[in-house]
Amino acid sequence: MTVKGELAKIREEGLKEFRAAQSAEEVEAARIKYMGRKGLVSAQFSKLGTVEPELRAETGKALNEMKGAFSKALNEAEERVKGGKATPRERLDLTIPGKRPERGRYHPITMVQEEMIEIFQGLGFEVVEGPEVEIEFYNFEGLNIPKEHPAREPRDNFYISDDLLLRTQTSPVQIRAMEKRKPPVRLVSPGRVYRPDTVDSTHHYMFTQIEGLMVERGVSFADLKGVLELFAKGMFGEDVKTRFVPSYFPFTEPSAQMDIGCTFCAGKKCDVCGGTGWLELLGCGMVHPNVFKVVGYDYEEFTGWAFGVGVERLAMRKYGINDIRLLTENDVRFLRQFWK
Amino acid sequence: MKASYKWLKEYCNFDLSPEELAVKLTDLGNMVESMEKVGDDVCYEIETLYSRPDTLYHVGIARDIAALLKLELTLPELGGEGAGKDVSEWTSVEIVHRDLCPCYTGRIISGVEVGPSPEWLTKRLVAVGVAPVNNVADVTNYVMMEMGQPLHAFDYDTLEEGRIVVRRAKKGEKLITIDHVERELDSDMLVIADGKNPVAVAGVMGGLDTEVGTGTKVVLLESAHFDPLSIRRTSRWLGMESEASYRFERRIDPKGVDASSRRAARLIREVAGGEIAKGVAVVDVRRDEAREADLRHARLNLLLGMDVPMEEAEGILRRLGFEVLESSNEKVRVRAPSWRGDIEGEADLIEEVARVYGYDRVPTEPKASVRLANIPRWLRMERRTRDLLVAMGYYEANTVSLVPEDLAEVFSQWSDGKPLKVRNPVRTGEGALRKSVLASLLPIRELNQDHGAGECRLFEIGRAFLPGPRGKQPEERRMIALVDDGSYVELKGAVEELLEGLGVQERLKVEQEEASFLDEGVGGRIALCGETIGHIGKMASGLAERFGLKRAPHLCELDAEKVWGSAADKPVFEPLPMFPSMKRDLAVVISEDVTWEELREEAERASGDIVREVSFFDVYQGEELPKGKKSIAFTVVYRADDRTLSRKEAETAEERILTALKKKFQAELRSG
Repeated sequence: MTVKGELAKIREEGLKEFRAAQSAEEVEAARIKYMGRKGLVSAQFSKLGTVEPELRAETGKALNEMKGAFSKALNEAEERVKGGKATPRERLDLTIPGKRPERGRYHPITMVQEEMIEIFQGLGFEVVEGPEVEIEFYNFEGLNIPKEHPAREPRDNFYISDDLLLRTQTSPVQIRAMEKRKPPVRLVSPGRVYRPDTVDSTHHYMFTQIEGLMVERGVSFADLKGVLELFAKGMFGEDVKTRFVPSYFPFTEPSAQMDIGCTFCAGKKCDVCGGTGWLELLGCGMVHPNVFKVVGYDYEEFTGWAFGVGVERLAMRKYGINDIRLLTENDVRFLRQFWK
Repeated sequence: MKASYKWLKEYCNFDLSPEELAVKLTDLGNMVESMEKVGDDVCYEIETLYSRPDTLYHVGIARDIAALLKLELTLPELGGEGAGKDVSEWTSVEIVHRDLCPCYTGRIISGVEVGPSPEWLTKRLVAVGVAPVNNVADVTNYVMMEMGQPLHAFDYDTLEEGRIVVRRAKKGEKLITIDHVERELDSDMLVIADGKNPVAVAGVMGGLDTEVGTGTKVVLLESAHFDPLSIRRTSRWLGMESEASYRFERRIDPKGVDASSRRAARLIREVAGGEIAKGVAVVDVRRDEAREADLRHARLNLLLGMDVPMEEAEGILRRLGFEVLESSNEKVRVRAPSWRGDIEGEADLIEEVARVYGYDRVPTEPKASVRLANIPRWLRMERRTRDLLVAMGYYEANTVSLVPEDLAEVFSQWSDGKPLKVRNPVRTGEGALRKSVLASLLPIRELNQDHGAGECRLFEIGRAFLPGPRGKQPEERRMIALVDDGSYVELKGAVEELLEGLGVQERLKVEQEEASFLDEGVGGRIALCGETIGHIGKMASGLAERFGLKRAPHLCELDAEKVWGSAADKPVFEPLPMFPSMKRDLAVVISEDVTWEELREEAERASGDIVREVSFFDVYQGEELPKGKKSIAFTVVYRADDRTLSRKEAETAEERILTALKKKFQAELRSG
């Protein structure tokens, strides 16, 4: 058979096979047979050297033309089987459930803590941390809590030695941070705190707090109210109501408790807010001059305010969790229910 | 503190409904937690601030209201001077331990007729939840609720030698208190004694034998000032808290001691008849502490962020009982009233002005400047780590840092030291600070097994407390701990993926090493550049048994700081290869003692610079292979940066690998 005749035969059979292919597998088989690395087209190209020189150009041209035709037929065949025009051989039950990749979960405490940090970061507060095993001075004297204060009763604290204890609040970080910084200071500090308390559905001896501190020239109670109200809006929505009630903390003066309008009954009075229409959110106040004295700040030149907020209570409110113990039990049936 | 609407109105004639008054009380810092109708009166439950013991009685609360509403405060009438024979003919007072009791007064009312109280008196007491007893006892309670001073009435005729001695209890002394409980006393406790025996636990509770009853003819009325700390310790120690001890602990009004005694004597005479002896038996070693402070107008305005007129501020302080010593437009100098022991300086005065003027009048306007917040690296890394682990299917846990001591001791991989212990654990067995986060994470696996959960994959990023020198703070090191019910390679895969996701360039190596919490065969340390960064393996079977686990999970704990120390802050783009790579699979039969890591290192060493990657894909042991041998299959990727590799080049490199493996491990190419 002449070279020309052989090519014509390959061409005819090849096109027929591409057109007859009914499935992706058949198209692929035809592709390998004709267009593959060791396929017929490539074999013919490699034989080109053996063709008489005067026919070489013509044969080469025919080969290229054939390759183009196969390529077009291959595309058409692929389109056809993909487009479902081929006779369906396999029918998939589209209603069977999908096979899901596994997804992990964030702990709700983390989520609420992160949400708060993000709000304060947006307001220019840096994040710092401090030790949980704290020196008595930082936990008490430095915060204007003298020896005779009832908060210092040994049985109301987790003492480890005579002057070391598990911190009862994140406020010691205020002292530690101010010792290392000059004003202006703007920081938040999340962390664990510990107070001996019988464990029940609303109490635990370990919980999480976020401390906040802002010290600058000219900062006032109006800043405290303004920033904390922004925080409440960021956390609970633009419509949240707030109020500030006089309170007492040894390390702030004036001190206040910030309440938000009950998120469960919208102020209509329910069991959650004890019929008052308000929920306690956090404690706050203007930094006590004695605290500034401890860290060597000039309390005539600088003023500041601070707050502390419990993360567990907030998480429980936010997600409607009815038992604080769930937050440290880590039952996967519990954890599974939360997402960011 | 329970307060009655009608009772408050006796001292301050406000024109407010009970609901309106509740709001005002809360605004002043006397937080009304609930209110309840009692007969024709309303009872408020008020959360009293620790700093404000002067609001533990009606006159004190009424003073706050009067200051707010700018009303007159009507104080109770005292009287009680007495007209009978002089009190010294009846009794005497001796204080042995004056540090614990700087002032004690006794008044005598003789010829009383003990019986039920009149209606006006019982009504007041019932409204605030105090059960009426008899007219004398009821007056002492009434005056306490009115003026804040706890009082006690003794049946004078039951007192040995008819006199009072205030002293520490003697070891072995006992006293049956009015609640019919026999109390063992010790020398740390202050008692009121007669000539011989204790008759009351000072400031906490009276004795049964000297209690006033229907047979009582002569009353000795006690009004005293006790040391708050001593009262607190005693009441805690004996496990009894009373209305009296609650008030003494919080510091009473020093000037109220005598005034209240006079008021009570007058009322006892009014409701029980009799005669008040002239004068008072008293020992008083207290010094008058005058607390003076300045309030500067500029400071007041600066701190509150608004302008409060000076005469307004001065008026508030006056109405609260402060004595104005000097006054100008710039500042006032005041002396704090005796009942305000909490006032120390200007900041306290600013709070007084602010709370009465109204926190709600402070504008809500931050004026502070704008600045950029710095996100510390540990926080960014913690977030990235958490995101990666969650994406890989792990659930985040939040476990309690306190664990049983013996469990804390099992984990000595980071520190051999004795775990730190708290002196008073709340729950038995939760007294030691974990030296490894695994110590608190493992019990969670048990809880979930008990609750019927299937496979669990949990992690926690938390602090381990590594003991330092005795008496010093421990090192608090952040750990990434994982518990996984999947296989070893699944957990290791997650760790590898985590490190890659954090941009750690170095390859982690696991080296067999024994650890008390890991299985002997499947457990080792994880090293990065030769440094231990953590441990991985199967939970030791003993530990699994301890937790009653049906199947031992796999564990891993990484030192977060070390991992993050090797992590990159951002990826660096590497240009895509210009020339194709070639992949070739190999399988060799090799002694089962040779690890993959050894084989890989040798292969990489021998192969030359065109080898880009040697990666594991299978290990096989079976009958077709000689005993003690295994077959390892792996893929080698070849590529050059400057040319397309020829098949020949790859084959030559492959040959070099096989020769090296043969020489070092007697590895044979597996055919077929």
